[in-house]
Amino acid sequence: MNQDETSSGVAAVTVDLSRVRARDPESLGLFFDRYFDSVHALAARMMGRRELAEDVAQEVFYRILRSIEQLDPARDPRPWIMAITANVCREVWRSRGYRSARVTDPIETHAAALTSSAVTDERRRERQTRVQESLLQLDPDSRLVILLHDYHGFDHAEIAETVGISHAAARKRYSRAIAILAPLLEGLWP
Amino acid sequence: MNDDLDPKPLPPAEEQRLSAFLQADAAAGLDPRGGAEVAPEAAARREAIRRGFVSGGLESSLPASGGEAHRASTTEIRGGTISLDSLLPRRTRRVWPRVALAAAAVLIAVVAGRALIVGNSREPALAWSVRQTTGTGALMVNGRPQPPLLKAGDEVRFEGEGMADLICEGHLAIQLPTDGACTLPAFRPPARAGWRGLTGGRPQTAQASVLAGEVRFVTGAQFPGNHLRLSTRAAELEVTGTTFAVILNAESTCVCVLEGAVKLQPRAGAQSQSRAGWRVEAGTRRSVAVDGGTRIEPILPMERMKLEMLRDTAR
Repeated sequence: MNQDETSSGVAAVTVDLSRVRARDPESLGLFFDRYFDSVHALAARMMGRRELAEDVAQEVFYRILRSIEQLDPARDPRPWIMAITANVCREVWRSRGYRSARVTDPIETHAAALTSSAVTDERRRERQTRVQESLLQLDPDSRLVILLHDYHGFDHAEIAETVGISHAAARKRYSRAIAILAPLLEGLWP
Repeated sequence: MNDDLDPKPLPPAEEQRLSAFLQADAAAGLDPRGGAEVAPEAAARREAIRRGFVSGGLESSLPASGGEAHRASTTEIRGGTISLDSLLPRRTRRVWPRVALAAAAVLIAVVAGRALIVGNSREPALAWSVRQTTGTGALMVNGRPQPPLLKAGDEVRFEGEGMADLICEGHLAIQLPTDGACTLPAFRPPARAGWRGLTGGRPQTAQASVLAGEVRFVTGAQFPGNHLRLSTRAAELEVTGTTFAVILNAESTCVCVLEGAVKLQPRAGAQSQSRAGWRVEAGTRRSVAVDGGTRIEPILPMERMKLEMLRDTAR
């Protein structure tokens, strides 16, 4: 099941990007409803911390609003939105506040907190926690391609457009990332 | 990404199985917003962001960057015109032209003499410093771990995951992501403001080489009027004030320009269609292959954002 593809079909019908670009409030609302969860989900998994994901999501929509003229109504906006999200995550990582927070507040603790209230089954929770912890062990570039491909349904061409690399490089980066991830998830996947 | 440290790739069937496992994990419904315990709080925050977005009044959630502060202050200065006359008493205004003429004559004599004898090329080059490093990698200088001081001419390379931002205050900021490498150009202290105008500014030409990977550059407030020449295996670049990236691989050099323009010329000996080179304008990227082939395209959104981030934090 691919979460983004499902909702993407809906978006193609309901969101008129040219009206979003013209800052029509109703269209902005539909655009927000369509993409907020994707932005928030990517940020949460990239950052491993819920409260940071909310800050990232706010910043992403602030930047979208600021540069709405760059939105091309003829193209799928997801690569553009996800590129902004990845960039804001990177900016937050680089900030002094995030680095100092990491010292007292290990990311692994948040990975556990992230899932603890979301699932009831013990084994399923453990599995999801371990997947999230393993993703957080990847370098950000590798984590991003895994999340875009397997959690947001991007194909390699869309990843290439989002990350700003060639199609072949996107394919290679994904293969490399998944090869790093495999031993971290040993025993979990069939 | 460090392609030299590639792990052994999984067989295609295993890669597909792991990918399917991850997609199942995604579909299992993990709520990255924290589930029921935090739902009201998260929903309230989401609604607040939505209201701001729809009304157009959404504010940034990150602290204002140095770049924005810089732009705000320069806008204020450019926005208002203050006449010097209006600040002076009447009597001073009458005397001022004569005093100014005398002072100018003395200054011209002193500056011309100093420029002829010394010139700012004799001044020691300005120091470079590491503004910040991120990730788990390390900055290597001339093949060794980062020494306390950096100097012009040093060869710098970022090894491992992450990046380093280097700065020569007021002149140039350089960002080295993983495997990015270059030499540090030499900038001299600028001539003092009053002298600079009188002597025509004595523009400096700094030189450096981009050796590997992606390297991003942002010129600073004291750079305009000067020149930076960069060389790569495939091309020579000349910069007169801009924000841009140089991306190298074994076969080509790609220049992505966010602001200003960069003059790009194939290296002597390259079988290029254009000996004169090209002017790479803002918003575009041009790649030049070692064999002389060239291509121009719009700058990629990701590279645009990386450069905007560097510009906003460096200036």
